[in-house]
Amino acid sequence: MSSETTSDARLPQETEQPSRLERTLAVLRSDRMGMAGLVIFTALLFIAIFAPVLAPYDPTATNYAAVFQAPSSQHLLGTDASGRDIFSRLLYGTRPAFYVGLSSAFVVAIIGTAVGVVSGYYGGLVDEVLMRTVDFLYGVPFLPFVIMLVTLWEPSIFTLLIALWLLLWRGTARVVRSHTLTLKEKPFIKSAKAAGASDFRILVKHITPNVLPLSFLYGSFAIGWAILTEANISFLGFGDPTLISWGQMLLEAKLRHALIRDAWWWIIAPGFMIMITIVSVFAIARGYEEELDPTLEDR
Amino acid sequence: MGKKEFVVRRILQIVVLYFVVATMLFALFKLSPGNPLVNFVSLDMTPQQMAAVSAAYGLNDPWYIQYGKWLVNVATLNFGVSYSLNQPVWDVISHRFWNTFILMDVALIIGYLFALPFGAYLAWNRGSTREQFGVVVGLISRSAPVFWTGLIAVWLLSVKWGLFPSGGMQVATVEYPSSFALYTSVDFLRHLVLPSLVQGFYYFSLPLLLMRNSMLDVLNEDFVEFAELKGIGSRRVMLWHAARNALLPIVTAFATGSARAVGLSVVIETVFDWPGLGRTLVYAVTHNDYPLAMGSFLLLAMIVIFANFLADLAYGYLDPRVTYN
Amino acid sequence: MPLLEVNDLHVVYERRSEPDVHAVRGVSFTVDENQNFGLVGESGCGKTTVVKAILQALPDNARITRGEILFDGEDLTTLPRARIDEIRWADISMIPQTAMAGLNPVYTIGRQIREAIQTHRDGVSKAAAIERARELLELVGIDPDRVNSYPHELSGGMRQRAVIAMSLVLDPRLIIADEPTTALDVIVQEQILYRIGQLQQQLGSSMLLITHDISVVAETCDKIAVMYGGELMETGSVEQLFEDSHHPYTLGLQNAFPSIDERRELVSIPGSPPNLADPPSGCPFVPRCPFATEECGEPLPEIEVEEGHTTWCHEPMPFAEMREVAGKRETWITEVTSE
Repeated sequence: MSSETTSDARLPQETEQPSRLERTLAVLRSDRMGMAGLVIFTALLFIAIFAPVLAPYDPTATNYAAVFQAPSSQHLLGTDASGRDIFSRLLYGTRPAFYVGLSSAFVVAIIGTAVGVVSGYYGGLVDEVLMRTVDFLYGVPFLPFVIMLVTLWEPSIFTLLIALWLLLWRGTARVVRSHTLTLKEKPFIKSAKAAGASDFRILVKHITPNVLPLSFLYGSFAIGWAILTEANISFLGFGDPTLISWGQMLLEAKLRHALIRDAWWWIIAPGFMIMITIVSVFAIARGYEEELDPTLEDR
Repeated sequence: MGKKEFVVRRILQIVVLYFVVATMLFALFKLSPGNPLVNFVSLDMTPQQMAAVSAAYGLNDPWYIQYGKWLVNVATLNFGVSYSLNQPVWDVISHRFWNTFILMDVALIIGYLFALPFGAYLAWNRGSTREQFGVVVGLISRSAPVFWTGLIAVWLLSVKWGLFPSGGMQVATVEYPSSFALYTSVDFLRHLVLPSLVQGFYYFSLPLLLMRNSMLDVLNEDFVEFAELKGIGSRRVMLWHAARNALLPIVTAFATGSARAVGLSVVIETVFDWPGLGRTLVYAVTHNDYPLAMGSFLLLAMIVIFANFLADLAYGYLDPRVTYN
Repeated sequence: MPLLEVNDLHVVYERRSEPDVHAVRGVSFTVDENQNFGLVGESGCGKTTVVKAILQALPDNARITRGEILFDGEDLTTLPRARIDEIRWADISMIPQTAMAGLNPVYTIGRQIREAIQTHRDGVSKAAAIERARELLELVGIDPDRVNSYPHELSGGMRQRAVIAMSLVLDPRLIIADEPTTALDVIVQEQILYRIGQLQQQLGSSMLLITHDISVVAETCDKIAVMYGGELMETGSVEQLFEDSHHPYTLGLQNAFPSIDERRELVSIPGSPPNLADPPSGCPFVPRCPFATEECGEPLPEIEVEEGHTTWCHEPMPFAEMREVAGKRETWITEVTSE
């Protein structure tokens, strides 16, 4: 980033912004796994949006004449204990996953970045307070906290989201703060200050754009964590039972003795969807991370 | 500030942290909608009994008095009595703590034991298809939900092929003279296999990635190449110069991994019906046994806090460059 | 018998989808006992590759395609790994360019010195090894109590002296110093050079000094070899090369570094080194040489100027004339890199 070393106070990101997206895509294109992840993720997003059109059956339609049926031409992935088509339910299951995943990624990235940047830049008391808060958040066991919150309030997806949003940003904040500390010492920031730029301006125009790749990265990881948490919570029985989610499906499988009835399609499919969704997200994030190692920003 | 002062300061911090978490729990409880009494009684109690409970727990006192009592209780590890189990909470959770602790640590050790050499292997074979394959395995390890792999493991290895018990920690009918006898029995070990392997697979990914990245970084360091010039032999260089430095982040990761593992115990213990703190928490919550739930939660939090503390200490001990301020 | 004899060394770096790099193309020189030998050249000339070849520490994609490296009569290029490990440090040691390149940050310097001792000398106790380490630290001017310090606890100059101490611990016959003063400021540089010279006289070892700064070798070395583009340009004693230079490149190098004794202009040689993936067939210095003519495109002849003084040059202009005009700025600056 040669513009970082120029000493004039011209905003570095003005010359970079258009190329940043291009660079991101170029980075991903070169990593096969990342590309594969992107393809899968996009396909799943497509399914989430068009589930009603794509699903062959109504996912809630029960049919007690056709319970525990193995996969067939009628039911691509068989039926469950109530005769519902598993394939259709799988397709609908993408929705809560994306809902939870994407919203969490967004919130985590925003809160984490804001806290990290402010904490790293201002230092002093603000930094102390914010970082002690993060320490505290790290002291709270994640899943147990979500369970407590969901039990004390109400078992809805909204409560789950609140629990996620309250805790998940802790990692992002620490990493962003660390990077801000490094950035703070760089010549282009110091010269901007010398040129009279206000703190706010420096934060918004200089530091944040350089920290965004990290936010994006950790936001991506957050998608994975959020989806996994929703699955875990639903499986434990604290989720919304009216919601069609993969975790919920596996809970039912367990409760309705799918194991004993050897209903492998019911056991394997929903879990596989969870896995493949998260793998795709992590693959994208990982591909990006390889290129992104902050120490490489010094080139 | 020297090491001693650092340790003392950190200990004070974790004590404070404990009370802050306890406060948060109190706040959550107070802020929850509905009649709090519901969490302390079972439906078959008489109104007099309920009133007695109410008074005992000071549910009619002003909030600051309740808070004060709560802090005192928390400090003395007095979590009240569990209604569903008819035992003091502390007795229940202190006993089950060990079940969780053992399972968690066995799983972490399995995960790390496989991850470290595998990670080093991947670093060695950088850029090859073997490495790509290894990375994919790592990705699957952290994406496949533990309850799913657990279900599949139980279905295949227990229900279908009958190799291992499907749940529990021991055969229910057997009484063991002591905890030690229990934990060293073949019965216990058989029950330990599936949950620890399934968990171990999940915990495998983080140290795998860390070890690989760490080794790659270290292998590039000049002093590793230089150490070879001293004629001390490749193996010594790999172990004492490369791996020794590569391990720094791994050790701290073990401690922070433990912190995460604690939370996951709620899932694992539910899938495998393992009588630990995690299952206890889920049980308590579904049975509205609030004292038991709070106690379990706080004990779990204590483990997390302590694990993080150990991570800090370990890093400071292993890397002489860390200054204590 | 000379201590170190490099004969017609050729080293090639193989690359996957691009042509091989011919980093060393026929280099020969000898280092005798008790002698300081300077190997001079700019980055990319191949001197580091020569050193790595001597130490048998070439990367996996490098191959010695021709030549031999004799140390005390043994050809290092054919020895088994175990023997190489024995020779390392005990007979040939190295002072790295920067101290941190040679020191592991998580062990004390005492431990690292001790490691060298105990690896090569059987039966030496830990206490005896530490004692020896303390001796050496004192020798280089570091408080012996610092034997328990970690590298980051020492100043830059102290660290450099610590690695010098480490290089001497087994009384090696040959010490290779890889640009030992590059990373230091001039004052410390002076101290270090002096110290190295002293110690070396005391201990009677030979030194192979690698550098791009010809003024450094002027102070510390007996013999010098100047390399460029993977080949030797001129070799001889310090007096011969400085007072009776027989090569345009040697003359150019002298101009490029400041000297307190002489008043002369600082002129750096314009242009950059050749691409060794496509090595030139004639003299590699042609594009940057102010005296080059057409005949310089022919393969270089080896000319013995006098006893111990050799040059590789077509002598497009009498050397005496070259020496006259080499000191003037215009000679170099009007020379434009053609091709």
